[in-house]
Amino acid sequence: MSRTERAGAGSVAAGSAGVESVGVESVGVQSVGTGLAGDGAGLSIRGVTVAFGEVRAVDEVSLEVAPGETVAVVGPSGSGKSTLLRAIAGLEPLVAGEIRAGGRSLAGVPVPHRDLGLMFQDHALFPHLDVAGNVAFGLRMKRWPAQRQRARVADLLELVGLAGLEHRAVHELSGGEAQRVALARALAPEPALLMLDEPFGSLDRVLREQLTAEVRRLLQELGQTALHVTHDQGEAFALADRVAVLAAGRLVQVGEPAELWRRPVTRFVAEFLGHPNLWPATVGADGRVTVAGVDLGAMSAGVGAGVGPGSEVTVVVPVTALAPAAAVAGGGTGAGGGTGALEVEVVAAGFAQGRYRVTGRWLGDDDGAPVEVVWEADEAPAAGERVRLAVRSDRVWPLDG
Amino acid sequence: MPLSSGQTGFRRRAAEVSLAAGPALFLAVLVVWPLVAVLVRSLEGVGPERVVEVLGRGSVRSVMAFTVGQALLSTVLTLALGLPVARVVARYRFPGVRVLRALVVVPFVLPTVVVAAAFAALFERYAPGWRDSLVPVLAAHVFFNLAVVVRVVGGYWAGADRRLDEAAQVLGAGPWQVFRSVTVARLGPVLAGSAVLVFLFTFTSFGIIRILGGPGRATIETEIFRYAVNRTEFDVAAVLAALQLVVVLGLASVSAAFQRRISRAQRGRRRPTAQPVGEGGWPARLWLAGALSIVTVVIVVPVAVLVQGSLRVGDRYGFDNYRRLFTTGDLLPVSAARALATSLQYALVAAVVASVVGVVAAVAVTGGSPLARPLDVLTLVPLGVSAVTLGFGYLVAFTVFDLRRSVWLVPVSHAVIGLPFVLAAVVPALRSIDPRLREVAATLGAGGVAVRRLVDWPLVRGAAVTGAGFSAAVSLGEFGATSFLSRGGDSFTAPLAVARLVSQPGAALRGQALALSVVIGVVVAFVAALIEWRRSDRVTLL
Repeated sequence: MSRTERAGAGSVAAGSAGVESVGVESVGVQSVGTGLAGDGAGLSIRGVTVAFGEVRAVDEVSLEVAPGETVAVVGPSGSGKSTLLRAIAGLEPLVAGEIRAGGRSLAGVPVPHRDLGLMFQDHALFPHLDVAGNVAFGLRMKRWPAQRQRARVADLLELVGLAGLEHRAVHELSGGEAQRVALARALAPEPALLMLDEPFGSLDRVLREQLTAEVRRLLQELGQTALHVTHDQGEAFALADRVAVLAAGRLVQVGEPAELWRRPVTRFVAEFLGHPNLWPATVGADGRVTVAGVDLGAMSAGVGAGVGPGSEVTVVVPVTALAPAAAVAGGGTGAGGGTGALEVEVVAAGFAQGRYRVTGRWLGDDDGAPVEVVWEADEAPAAGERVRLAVRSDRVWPLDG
Repeated sequence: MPLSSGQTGFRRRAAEVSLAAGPALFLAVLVVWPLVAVLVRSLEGVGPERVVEVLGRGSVRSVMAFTVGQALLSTVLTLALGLPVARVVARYRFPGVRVLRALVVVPFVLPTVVVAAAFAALFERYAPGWRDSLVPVLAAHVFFNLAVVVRVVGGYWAGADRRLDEAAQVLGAGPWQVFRSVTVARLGPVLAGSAVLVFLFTFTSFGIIRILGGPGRATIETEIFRYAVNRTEFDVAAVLAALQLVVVLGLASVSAAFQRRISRAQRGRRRPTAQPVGEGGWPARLWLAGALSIVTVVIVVPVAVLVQGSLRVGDRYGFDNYRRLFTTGDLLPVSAARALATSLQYALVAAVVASVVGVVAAVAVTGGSPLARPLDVLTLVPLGVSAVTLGFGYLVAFTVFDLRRSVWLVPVSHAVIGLPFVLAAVVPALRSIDPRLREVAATLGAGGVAVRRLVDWPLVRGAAVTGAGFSAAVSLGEFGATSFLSRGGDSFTAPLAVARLVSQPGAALRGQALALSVVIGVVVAFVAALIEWRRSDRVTLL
């Protein structure tokens, strides 16, 4: 198994079971001394269910977030991720389940006493307060003396890169600045858990990426336990230690970003993460995988875990598992066996972020699954051209069922 | 199973209900009870046959016909003249747009007697042939209600997403098709809503008809007064008031329904996208010229004539009419200046009472309490129910404890009449608060009271002040209810003084009436202009 090497930047190695399936308790391995550390700190959600009438928006979700860890909950809109977050905040009542944060049960604890920080998309800053007034709001609620409030506000503004903007009116802030103020406001009272609801959704891409990286660094520095909700898997991967995929209110898979991407357990997860190549395949002896009659070689997953010899499966072939082999001139016949090379007809080629992305289809199989590949070459093949693709079969991954 | 919000949910519900209870009680005692008393009175003793008999009288029928007819005519005229102005105010930016907007709104808060005095002076001097026709009444109604159309329609228009028009154009719609399929379709409920309001206001018109209507022109409203006060036939007055009440409550609930639709339509609307007139080319200039002419003829000229008349002494001009306001004559129980002082005191009391009750009611109406909807309808009742009916109701109802002799009755009735204005300002402000602000505040440790104090209140404070200002302005000009409730002397208000002065023959008295009108008008206009100046482009009903 290729385990991800996560930077040991003082963060936590939680969920060390690699690919976790639903309901498996991940053990929060304690590390950094952040002051938040403590037995049972962090966030623990067990069997949480939220219903709107007959509809179960969140359905028996269980999730552990270790102290200092950032977990992202991703899912398409309507999957219940925001509802889950609102339930943790106490803004939606639970039908069943238990939530523990900072080492205590939140059952019966009203919203103001939950000790949580919440950051919304579009920042939701108080329009009648200036920057300092916004950041100090939680401190005011805790009745901090004015002088300590001022000092803390100054520290936080420094931290989010807005030093000296205390008296700026909220409507004079740019989108990115407003979001930083919202972050500072949420962090100011040192919440046991910081919750981010689509925090960068309203920002343009460059700013979003920049701010994501900054927030990531900040959360690590502070050792802040955080739960991040987004529909953007890229943002989740960039920000979180682990990512949980939610579909129709149910948790489908939890894992570290690289693991999740390499080993999605269902077609839904694979498609949601953006894998284009989901091909029907036959698993042969020794874990060798055959697609459209072409033997691609041995999968790293090997045989077992429900994938026995001769079984028909859907395999995920990451775009990074495919690369152009030599182009085939003229009308070659079908591919030879066992070479791990596929021959496809190019349908279209696009250019994005410095690379070509080529889509094609199988030769001799008109209604086969589409093929998509990152084309690491100076020029893309033209539509109609036939190309050979080398396949790194160790990156091919079979889906469950 | 741990249910975190069950208990707190119940407590919150209880708090919401008790919050609604205060204003509900206020309205029950000061609106519902008097109206019910009128209804009971109209049926009591006399029996249904008498009701049928009264309604069947030829004179009563012609009064009803005239009431509806003049209200319809006024509504059509107001819409026809108001729409171009609304469009210009909403769509174009030009130097002086705020002045224009203020000019349109100020008449709405001007006291009816002031307007009646102005139009009486205008027609007597410049068109004596029309003085006894219906024209002065219609002109005064348009003068008043232009503001309703411009504010409601213009406000909506300004926020309407112009990209919808553009999208329709791109899809191949010509200008007429765009107008029909997009503009009218979206504007429909707003137009209908403002038409219902104008109809309601003109249907219950009292001061204008009393002063400008002349002989043979009586509305249900003025007939209630005549039967109750001049002829002391209380039962006939009660039947008419009951009839009035039924019509008005029906119209008010229609209006409330429209208002809900309008405020829903405004949710998520875009920032106003006004266009400089210069960019609009000649059609824009034409629209602007049209709007300016309408405002000039309908609003500026009558006001100018009023001021001119107040300054004319015989063949020359001077301040004699104003000086005479401080003297006590035979006609008025106190000097006009004294009456004005009384009016100012009442306005202050009314504004304070109306804004306190109004803010509490607004919070209750926007909350999730089961009383919210009924309270919402209840708060609109004073807007529709004629002040005359209300004043008559007080006379009928408050015979117990001899309340009707209380000096508080006049300012409290003014507060009741001003209440809908406070709500019209505060409710939309409360509704427009992003619920996430409260949620964020709660997660930061703010409890229910702290959220109200630190988030809601700062965001609606401006609207509350606006509402208080409006109710002060309404109180300063209130005529209908005061006609019933004033005991003369200490409770003799400025509008009563104007009405009495203007209805007497004699140039000196007429001059005094105009001078007092100008003073009242200036005070009210000052309050209204302040409000208009400092408020945002947020659309409220009024």
